Amino acid sequence: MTNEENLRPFIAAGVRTLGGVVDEPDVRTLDLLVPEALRESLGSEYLRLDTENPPLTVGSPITEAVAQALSKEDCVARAYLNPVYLQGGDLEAKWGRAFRLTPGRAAFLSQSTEETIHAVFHFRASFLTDEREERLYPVAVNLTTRIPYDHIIDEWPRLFFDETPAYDGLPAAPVPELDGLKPAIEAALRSRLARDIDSMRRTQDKFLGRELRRLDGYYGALEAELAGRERRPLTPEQAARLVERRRALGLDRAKKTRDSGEKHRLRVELKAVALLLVHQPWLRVTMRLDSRREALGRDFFWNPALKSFAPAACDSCGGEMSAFSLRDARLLCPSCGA
Amino acid sequence: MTSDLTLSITCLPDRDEMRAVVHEIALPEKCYAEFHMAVFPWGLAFIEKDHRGISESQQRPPEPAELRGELMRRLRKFSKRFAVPPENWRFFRERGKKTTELPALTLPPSWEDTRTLRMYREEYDNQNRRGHWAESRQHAEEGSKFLEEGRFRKAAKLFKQAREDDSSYYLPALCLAELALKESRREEAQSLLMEAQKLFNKASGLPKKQLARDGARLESAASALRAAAGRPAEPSEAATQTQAAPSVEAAPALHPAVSAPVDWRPPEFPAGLAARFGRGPADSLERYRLRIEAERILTLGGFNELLAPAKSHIVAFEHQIRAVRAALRRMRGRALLADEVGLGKTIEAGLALKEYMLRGMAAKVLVLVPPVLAEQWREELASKFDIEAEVFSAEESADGSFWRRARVAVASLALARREPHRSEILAQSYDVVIVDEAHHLRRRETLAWKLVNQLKTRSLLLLTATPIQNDLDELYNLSTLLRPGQLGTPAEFRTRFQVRGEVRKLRDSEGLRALLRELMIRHTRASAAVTLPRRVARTVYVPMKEPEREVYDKLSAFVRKLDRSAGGNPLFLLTLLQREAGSDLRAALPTLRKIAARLPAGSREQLRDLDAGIEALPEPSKWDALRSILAHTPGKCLIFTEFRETQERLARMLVAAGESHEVFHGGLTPAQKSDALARFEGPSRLLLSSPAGGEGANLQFCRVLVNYDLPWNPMRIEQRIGRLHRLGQTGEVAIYNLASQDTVEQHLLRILDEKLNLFELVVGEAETILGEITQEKEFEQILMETWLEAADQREAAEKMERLGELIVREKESYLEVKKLDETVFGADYEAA
Repeated sequence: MTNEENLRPFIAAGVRTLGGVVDEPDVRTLDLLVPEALRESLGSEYLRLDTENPPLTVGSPITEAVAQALSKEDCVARAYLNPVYLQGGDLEAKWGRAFRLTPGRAAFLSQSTEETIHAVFHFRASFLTDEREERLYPVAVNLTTRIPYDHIIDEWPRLFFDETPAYDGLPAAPVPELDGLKPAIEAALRSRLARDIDSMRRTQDKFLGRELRRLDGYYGALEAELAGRERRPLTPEQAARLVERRRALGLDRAKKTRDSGEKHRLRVELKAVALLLVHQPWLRVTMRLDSRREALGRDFFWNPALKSFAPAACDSCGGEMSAFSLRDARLLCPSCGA
Repeated sequence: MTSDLTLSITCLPDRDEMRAVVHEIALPEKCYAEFHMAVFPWGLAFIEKDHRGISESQQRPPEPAELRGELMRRLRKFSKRFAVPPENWRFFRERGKKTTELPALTLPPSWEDTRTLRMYREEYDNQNRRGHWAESRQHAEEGSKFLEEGRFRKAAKLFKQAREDDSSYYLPALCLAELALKESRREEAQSLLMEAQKLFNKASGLPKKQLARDGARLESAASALRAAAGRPAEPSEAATQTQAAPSVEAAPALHPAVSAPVDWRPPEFPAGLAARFGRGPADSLERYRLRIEAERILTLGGFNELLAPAKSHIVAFEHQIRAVRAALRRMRGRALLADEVGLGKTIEAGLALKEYMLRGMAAKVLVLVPPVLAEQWREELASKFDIEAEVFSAEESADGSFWRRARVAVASLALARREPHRSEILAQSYDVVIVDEAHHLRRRETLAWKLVNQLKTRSLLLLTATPIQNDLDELYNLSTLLRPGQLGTPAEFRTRFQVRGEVRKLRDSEGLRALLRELMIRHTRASAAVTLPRRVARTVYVPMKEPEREVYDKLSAFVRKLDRSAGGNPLFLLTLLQREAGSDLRAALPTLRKIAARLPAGSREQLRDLDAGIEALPEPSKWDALRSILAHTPGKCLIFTEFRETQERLARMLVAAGESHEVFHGGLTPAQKSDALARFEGPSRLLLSSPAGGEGANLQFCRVLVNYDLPWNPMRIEQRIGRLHRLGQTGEVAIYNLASQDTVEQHLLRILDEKLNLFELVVGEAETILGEITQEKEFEQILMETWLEAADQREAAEKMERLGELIVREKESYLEVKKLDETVFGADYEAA
């Protein structure tokens, strides 16, 4: 989260990254040779900034200008996770703690080291109702298994990334086409946003419910008043007018009800704003899986940096699973295998 | 018993909470079931993953042995539900260590609140509330039985108990309303019913069927009340024979819990990012981190933090920011902005629109205004908010393309309500609609009201300083545009808030204000803390010297003759001539000479005569008056004149008189304007300005204004005054108005000063008072037409007097409205 203390280093680093020059003569001053990208918005080639008078905020013109300039171009970066220990120890036991084959048994067959890549996307989500709010969400998909890999996001603060690999001799991990990964990315996003969307939807439900109840009360009362009038003796003209009035009331009610629904519709728009490709070595662990009727060799992946197995995907629905059954040479999650 | 089902229990002394998690149960129902046990300072909590509910076992921190016992009890119960035999239980203490029995459980080291704790607590509080409601319901239902038996006292006691159980529950209020109805206490029943309805609207977390039943009960009570208030006459026998029994539709049940739709768009991947995916050179980690930081800075929060004030070319007052925030957040974009005149409703609407635009929420906007304000709105949106708007002009084709094309359309309400425009407008979907002077929507039977009611728009902002002009129904009609039903049905509104037979008398003002606060924002000058020093106006009627008098009268007759001549002449031209003559007869010379070619021979002869007469005139008599004023007022002085000719002449006379002055007009470059203002603030005593000058300039250091002549538009006179009399002015402002006797200007000043009290009004009040008169025509046009209709001075005086009386009546009406406003809204109404 950005706070005011981070802004000075952010501006200094940002200006340098954009091609400007920064000098910091003292704790509250920044001398900036403004890069080309910022000259028009800042109106100057050179700026001496007192960062305490007025204090820097996220709304300060310089902050906004630097942020806007940095966000204009796509960002695809690369980093390396260099785990200290590559070997996994008792992988069969570890597998047994992470997964369960029911019914059946699993036995370790072999292991090999290879490179994998985790694609970590940052999405800007815009939530639009009668208000617009934006939030940033990271999601990760592993490019070997091609399924979401939330664990790396959960462990993010504990991970240390390098600019270069500390391992060699491993062939480069293959990179699938982005289009093939989009369903997995979208699934990861849906999962990550579910709670926030649910919370916002409940808020809109509350407002919508309130509005609809108010409309129901109002139009119901008007219709009842109309019905009261209809019970009186009426001339044909009066009766015709009441019929028209009832029709108009119905149309008005339908329109207002529709409008309320539209107003409280929650629209979610997502845009990828940055991508970090995290390379690391990990272990491909081949296990023999034995159910009563058949046996299968299947690869699982041990991540030495996270000290855990990467999630496995159901062969039927593609959902993440830790318990599964074996049927017709396929691993199935409990739902698909039932 | 054998079974394939397994119950795995993991006890994790995890972070700040201890959790017993039951997981991975393979169930025939094809679902997982899971429950958490958590230990909190207020007791144990068990939550099932399908959110059946939360229960707590005790209200104090448990002892470890109690914890274990309670956990085992719960596990047995849960296990029995899914038919998992005890031998299929597996316990795990930390990852990988399997045991066959429940390990010792320890209490967490601290009771720090975690996000999960908060979630659990909220759920617990909800359950708690539902628990209280259950108790309240029980008392209420018992009471209802006594009510049916006619035992009112017993019923009342139970209903009061139910209310004490939980005052936020709607049912006690409803039951008390039913009791009041039975006892014919209609007013009390009405009030209780409104309370019950309000609480019902807020109710949540109750079963749908219960809500539907109670909703129908509310409806039934409301019908009974209406029936009691005014029973319809019994139909005559003949009528019943001839009339088919009308079908009485049951009032529709109130909505059960509804679900707002969610529109999920597939995620977008920018082309550049997609192209670089996995290929080619990559950015550095530093760049990546900066990018993420930049995105955080740029993400939009909610309306708590407004973006528009910093992006507009105005300095917004605190009350304006509050108003915008309230309109967008609390009122969710549908609000009545009803600040007192002069407090900047236009600014508030502009800020709200700008806010929506900055957030990408205003792709299509409609602004409906009185005709005379359309151009002013376009100009203000552009200059203050950088919003480009299009005004529907006479040149636009009638094929509807304007309404389809314009992103921000400004048009008059009078135009918009007529075909073919009406249909085109109703076919559009707007994000924001703003209606200025919304008191023109006070009657629901008008086309204008019906148009606005039918517009498809997410946000609707109505602006008016006078939401009530004649009676309370007008307020009701405006509210209905924003939120139908907020003030009940029309009959309910009258019953509750109006005194029978007195359309302006109010009762239950507090109740009305409480309801209005959900859709109306109103600040007074007192509440907005916007006060200005006094301004004092002196009018000087200058007797003309004889030669001037003669020429003026001849010119006026000439103008009348031009007006009546075959083919006529454009009114603006005649008005211009007359105004120039009122300023300084010499100012009329260029215009007279320009129109010579259009005139028939006889008129040209007259014109030459006039020309010669004007050329022969000595110094104008107003000049002596001005010199006298300047001699008696120390300090800086701003002299306004409408015309360049007058300005140049005055400049020459001031030079001859040795008075240091600066000249300011539209022909100067920005740098020259800036220099002139700087010198006026510095060494120069006088600033001689044309209408174009001084716009937006801060001249609060000056306290004397001389209107050497007057625009014929009171609002422009106010704008002139506003150059000095504005926020930042610290001293009393003196205004001198010069007008030659027996001219249009004298009549104008008499109307404005003596009838309208323009110079004592607050900024903006004149516009409000004259609003009805100037709906279709500018005041200038009305004035000129009045002058032209008169044959001579005497008749002109009579007609001007009648115009003055009309203005007096408008002003009295305005003052009555103000009194009603004060009664309804009070001095302390504030919804922002």
